Amino acid sequence: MKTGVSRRTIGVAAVLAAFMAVPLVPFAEPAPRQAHEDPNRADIDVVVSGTAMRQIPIAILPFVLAPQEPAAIRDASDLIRKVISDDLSYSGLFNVLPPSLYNAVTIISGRVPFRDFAALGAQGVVAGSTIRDSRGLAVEGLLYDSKTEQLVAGKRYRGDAALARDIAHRISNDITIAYTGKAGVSLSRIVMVGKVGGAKEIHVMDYDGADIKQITRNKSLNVSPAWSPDGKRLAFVSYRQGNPRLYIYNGDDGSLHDASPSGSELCIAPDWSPDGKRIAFSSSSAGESEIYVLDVATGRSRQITFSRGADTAPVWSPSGREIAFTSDRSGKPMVYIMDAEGANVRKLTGSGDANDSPAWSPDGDKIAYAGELNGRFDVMIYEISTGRTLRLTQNAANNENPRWSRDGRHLVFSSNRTGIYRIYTMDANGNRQEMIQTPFEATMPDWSR
Amino acid sequence: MMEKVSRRRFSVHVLALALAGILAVSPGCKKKPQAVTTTPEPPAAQNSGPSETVNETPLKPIVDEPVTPRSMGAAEYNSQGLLKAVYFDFNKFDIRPDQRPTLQANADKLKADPLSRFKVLIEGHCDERNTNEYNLALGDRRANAVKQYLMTLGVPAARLRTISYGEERPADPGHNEEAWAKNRRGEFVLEEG
Repeated sequence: MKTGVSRRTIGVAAVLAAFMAVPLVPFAEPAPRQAHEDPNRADIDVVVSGTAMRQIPIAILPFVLAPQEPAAIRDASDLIRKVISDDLSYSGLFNVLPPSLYNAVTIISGRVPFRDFAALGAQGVVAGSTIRDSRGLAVEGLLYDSKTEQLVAGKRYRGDAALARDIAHRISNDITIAYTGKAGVSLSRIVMVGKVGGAKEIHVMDYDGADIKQITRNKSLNVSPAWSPDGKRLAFVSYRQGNPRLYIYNGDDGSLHDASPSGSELCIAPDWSPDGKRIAFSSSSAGESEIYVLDVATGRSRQITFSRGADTAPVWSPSGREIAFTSDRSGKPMVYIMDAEGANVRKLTGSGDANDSPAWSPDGDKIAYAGELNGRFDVMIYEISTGRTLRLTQNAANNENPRWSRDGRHLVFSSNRTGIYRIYTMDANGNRQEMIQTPFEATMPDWSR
Repeated sequence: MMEKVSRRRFSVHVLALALAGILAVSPGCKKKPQAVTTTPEPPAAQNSGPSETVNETPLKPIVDEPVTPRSMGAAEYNSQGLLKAVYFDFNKFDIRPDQRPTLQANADKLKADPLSRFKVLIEGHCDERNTNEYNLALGDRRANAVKQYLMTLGVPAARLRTISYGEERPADPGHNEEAWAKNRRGEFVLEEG
């Protein structure tokens, strides 16, 4: 779906030639923190691939513009820099140094003054240029190391000017990969259910809340959306034909098909297997709600739970070998784990009045869920290796439906803490709980891989 | 041809005559209207009274048509609210003793005319507490509990269908116990048989 931008790696020589620098203005004051950052979080150690790593101090220079560029190009250039800065700050991996310290730098000749940036404490220096192009924009995003003075990563993106945010997210992702070896959340999206009039429709937005798109328009109830692992398809439940049925929306061609196995009623809570070939869901075809696994290619499904209680909300482990789900077989809803074939069922959480909406972390060691205490739900995390339970939200409202970001550093969830349900994201330790502005009541988020 | 006829002021007799002509010719449609235009000639008009008085003369014989009440469809009966909703306790799907009379009354109506020809969709609903997905399962159980109860009261299973809306269609949009109590419910929708 994110198309129209071609990527091309460009050589170091060409890159350096593009940058002409003058010395930086003196650095007068210590860096003020960005307003939205928790002061206690600035120096937190973040865990990357099992090793502790400090936040990487990084400076993002204004992108170079030719003098005669029209306002639209200049605006796009400013937007790209801002989005990169927001992305890197949001990731939690970087400490983006305040632009006020180097905003005045105009690079007119020579090179990027790496020593000055090193003195400022910037390990990475992001620079780039934005020029008009036959396609709209040609944007170079370049990452340097201030000590080695070498280009770490550099690409040129070309595309329509309307894709400026998209280009910025791609550059952020390149920078994240350069430091961690893995993609971050910059290019990810969040699907959710938005209340439109009396209907509930599926909507998709960028992870930062930009570019909200309405996917369904059937004025019915459309709920429980789930991203396919490749981010191209959505499985969800729709009442558009009366009974709740399972549908798959293909983002590549906008097609929609009814994926409900024949004879099944009340198909709810779909979740894709990590290989994208199967969908676990629950259905009450056999009386009580039980869990089934659908083979997407053949359309055949198999029942895998046979309990007396209601089994629902299945989610796959990242290995695809296990499924976590909610069951009230013991009297109240609790989270259980079983093998993907349905064997070896064991109860995972026993505390609280009710536990529901499990979500398996990408590293496989944690299960987030909504835990009920005294009539209210909070987002909790159960650590499988330690048996520890962490409570991430604590306020006088419901916090539900947690889903992990692809890098496991963040969670998205819904909360009615303002009186109306909205989508929120937070760090995996519960910090930085931020609401995403939507023009409608929003619930049931899922974060794309 | 009617245009031609009506533009002139004829007595009703003439008109009747003309109509008779039309009726006579029209079956088969072999004859063309020209034949009719010749019929209304002035002489016939002279032996009739003022045209006002003859308006009461029927143009054609009155056919007795018995008028019966319009047959009401499921939608119209639904709008009358004949079948009352039943309510549940939080997190429960068993039929409360105080709700049994409502179900008995609903069953009696469903077994008698005029509702006996309809099928019934039983909707299970929940309050907003619990997660959306668990509530879909809970609403399903509530609908099924109602279905089972109606069956024991003699409503055939073939007439009963269930659906769960979970917490997605509250009767009261409020966020307090009063609203929640109204939202934990089973509703009945008549469907054409």
